[in-house]
Amino acid sequence: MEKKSIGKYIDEDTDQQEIDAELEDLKEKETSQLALAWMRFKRSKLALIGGLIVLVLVITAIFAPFIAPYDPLETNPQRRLEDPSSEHLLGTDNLGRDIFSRLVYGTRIALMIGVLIVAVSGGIGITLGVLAGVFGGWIDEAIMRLVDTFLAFPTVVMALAIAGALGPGLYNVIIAVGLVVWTRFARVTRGDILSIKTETYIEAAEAIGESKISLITKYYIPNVLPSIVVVATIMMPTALLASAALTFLGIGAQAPDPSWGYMVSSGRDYLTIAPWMATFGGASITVTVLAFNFVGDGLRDALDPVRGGS
Amino acid sequence: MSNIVETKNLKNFFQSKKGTVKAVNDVTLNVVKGETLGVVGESGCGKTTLGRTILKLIEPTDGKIFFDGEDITDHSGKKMREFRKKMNIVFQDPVSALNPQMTVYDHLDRPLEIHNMVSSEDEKLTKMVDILNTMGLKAEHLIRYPHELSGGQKQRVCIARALCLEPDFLVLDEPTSALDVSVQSKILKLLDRAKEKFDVSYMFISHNINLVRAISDRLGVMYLGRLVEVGDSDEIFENPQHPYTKALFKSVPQPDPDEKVEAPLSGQVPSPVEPPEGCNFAPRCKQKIGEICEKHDPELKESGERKIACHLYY
Amino acid sequence: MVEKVNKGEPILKINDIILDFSTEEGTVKALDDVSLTVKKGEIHGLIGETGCGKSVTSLTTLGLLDDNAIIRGGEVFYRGEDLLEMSEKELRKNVRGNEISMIFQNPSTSLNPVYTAGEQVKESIVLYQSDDDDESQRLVLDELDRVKLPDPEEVYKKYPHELSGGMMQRVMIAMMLACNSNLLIADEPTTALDVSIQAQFLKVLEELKEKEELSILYITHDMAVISEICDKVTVMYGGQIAETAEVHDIFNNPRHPYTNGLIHSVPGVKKDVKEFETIPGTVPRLINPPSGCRFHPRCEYAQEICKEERPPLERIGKEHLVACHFWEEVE
Repeated sequence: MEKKSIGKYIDEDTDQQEIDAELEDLKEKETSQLALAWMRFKRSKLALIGGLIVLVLVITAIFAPFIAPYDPLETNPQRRLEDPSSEHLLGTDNLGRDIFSRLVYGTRIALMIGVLIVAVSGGIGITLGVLAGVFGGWIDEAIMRLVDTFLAFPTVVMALAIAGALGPGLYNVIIAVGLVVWTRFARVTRGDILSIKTETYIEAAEAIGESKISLITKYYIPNVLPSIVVVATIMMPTALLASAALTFLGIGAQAPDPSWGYMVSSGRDYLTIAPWMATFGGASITVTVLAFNFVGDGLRDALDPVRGGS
Repeated sequence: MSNIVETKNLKNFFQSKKGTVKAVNDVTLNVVKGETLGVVGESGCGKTTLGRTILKLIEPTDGKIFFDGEDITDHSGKKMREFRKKMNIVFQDPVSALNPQMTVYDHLDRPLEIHNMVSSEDEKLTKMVDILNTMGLKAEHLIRYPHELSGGQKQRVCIARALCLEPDFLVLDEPTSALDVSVQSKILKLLDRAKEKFDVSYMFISHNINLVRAISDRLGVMYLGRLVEVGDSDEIFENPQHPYTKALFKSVPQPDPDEKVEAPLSGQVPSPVEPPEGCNFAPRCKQKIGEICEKHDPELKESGERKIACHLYY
Repeated sequence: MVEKVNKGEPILKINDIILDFSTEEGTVKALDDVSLTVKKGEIHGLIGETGCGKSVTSLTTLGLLDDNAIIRGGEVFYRGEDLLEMSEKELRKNVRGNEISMIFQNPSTSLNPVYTAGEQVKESIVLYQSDDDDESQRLVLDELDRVKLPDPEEVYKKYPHELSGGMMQRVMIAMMLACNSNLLIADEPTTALDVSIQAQFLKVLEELKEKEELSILYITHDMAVISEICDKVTVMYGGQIAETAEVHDIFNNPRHPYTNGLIHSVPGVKKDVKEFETIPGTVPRLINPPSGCRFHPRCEYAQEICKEERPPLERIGKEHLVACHFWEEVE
């Protein structure tokens, strides 16, 4: 009466069947972390809108020469301060330059400023955060006191001081702001590392003989990455606002660069007769800042449960 | 019979707000080559700290540790790294013991790379697949991330990682406590199989007395940082001699409706912070013989085939 | 709660519960026709592994499920009334705490850290027994003594963080007794406790069952504990009931292949690891569970019918129920 079982795990070679069946189960389970994160991200309408805007900005920046109808630097004294028309979508500025074209090319500058500031501040902040978190002790104390010192001053004031010392120019603004906002990266990185430090897989890595450097590069940093991405995204608007503020105050991007901040500051004098100069420049900054903030929030919610496993 | 691991008067004390925690308090034991030494005890007994101290994942406060005859107590850095290949540990919680950003391949790769154990990618893969198969996993599992695996599979990866080192000695710290019952028995069988195939000695730490009984050759019972009884596992289970061991075994429920436990131990294990003078177990011991138990800490002495720390047996 | 129940009569009747959870990965079919009866004065064990639905069943009883839970069918009768028909307000006022109490694995999260143990038990006394200050204090000490806490006056003054796990669990029982609860649902109450403390705790529960006719639904994964204090046992697998029987029958005459496999993989039954038996395969995910009998992929007796038709829970003995097409052939 020995009927053979239909159970897929049951066979003469139980081990082999079992392993094969388990693999089949695994295939069903194939929702990768990325896919799950994307599902979570999608849930927030604001994040999606923000993401779309960021995408539009990036495309605009890349394809600026094809999108902008005019050369942003080309002056035209005959057509100064014109209202928006079919020829000049957003009007012209005080030197007859097409505002729309300047905005489009300004996207490049804005994104570049953002990315570079994030790079500078991220580089400094992550390095110091990692050192503080991993090594602890007096290194941690020293770095944290440094963070406290920098945080004692308002961002713009300190950036102003540094930029003032370095002199005018876009790259000096980038360095100045970068040297001030690194603290956010440092704190988040250190915090994450401290919580990862208590995870068993760090102890397991030590048990197999990993060196401190390997621990940092293969264990700590990959697990800190999601948080860093979120901080970097939220840092973009901070960077933009800070650099716009500095430009507005006269330091930073100089004429004739089509930076949005410069458009706002130079448009100040014409607010009553030709408000569109300053307005569109300011609007671009606002929209970009909001977009990155929404994306950053969405990323934080999407990536949070994924970090440390699901 | 030589020893793979030996400790002499090993101590590990921690400073806490309430005082000195004597987690491991003067423990002298040995693990014979090729055996499984079970270590049991309740909370605060120090068994987990003991395992980690022997591996020097935590530095001992005092005493000595010997590995295959060599004194490794003061080894560090490069010298210690050599020993990391010979001895390792499997932790209780497989979820946090795996790096969520690393695949199974990465996890097995690290020990092989660190200790230069293979000379070609082919050799590496062959080795990995061989160990995975021993643990009931397949080559296809190599590309998986921890979150894609079940609890039992995760633990098997952890054991495979430890086995990649080809260690002589493994500390197994509650390796099945976080797993389902039916998975537990599978893992234990795999561990048994691995022990024979790779010629490893085990220190099996657990609070599950029945489980330890099934897998240990020799047994050590710990109470409040001290070893109170050590000897052949079956003999101790048949005939426990230390009052604590006796009471402990009587408290263990058996999966048999006709066998009922007693609750011979009243109160609870006191805190390992500043333990009482004299024998640690004296306050709860029903076989106290008088003042000597309250004033003098009994040493671990030989009594027949085993060692006991109790004044009753001197 | 009108119906009075006598010893031996059903106090809790869970009938044919079908429950789903809607999640972002799909619908989790957590409970598939779950039925269970607890009698007054009985300790009923509910055993199963991860994902079997034992905790979910208890949460369903008290209406403590998450928002994404959808009850597709079934009733939970407690002393004659269907708890699933009650509103949240009614459950909170009349059922939870005073009629049915629940304790969990980690008592430190159930006790309020800023009140002493005595004060928390007193709250229940004041509500259900006496609101006279002196008398209620005395009654608190009585309850603390009833659960065999050494030195009740000292324990009264202690805050939760000053008590051990075992003591906190007993304080929880004392609170339950203070409310004059009739049914205790205990979800893994001793899993986090030392074995010697567990033994003390189990003795307390047994005594309460004898003296007070307390009914307990005891949820655990530990077969040894089940054999220790339970009168009746229900085995769950993958959201389905596999078998229900008196404790001796479960251990000596299991009729479901899963129960059989479980018994034989428990350390303590076999004394050497080489003799351990294992159940091939792993517990199924409940988003796309196996069809018919959810255990069939792992069952050595499985045939086509097991894949097509879910076996009904049928009575094969006075107190013995099993859901298996081939229960006669087991072992």
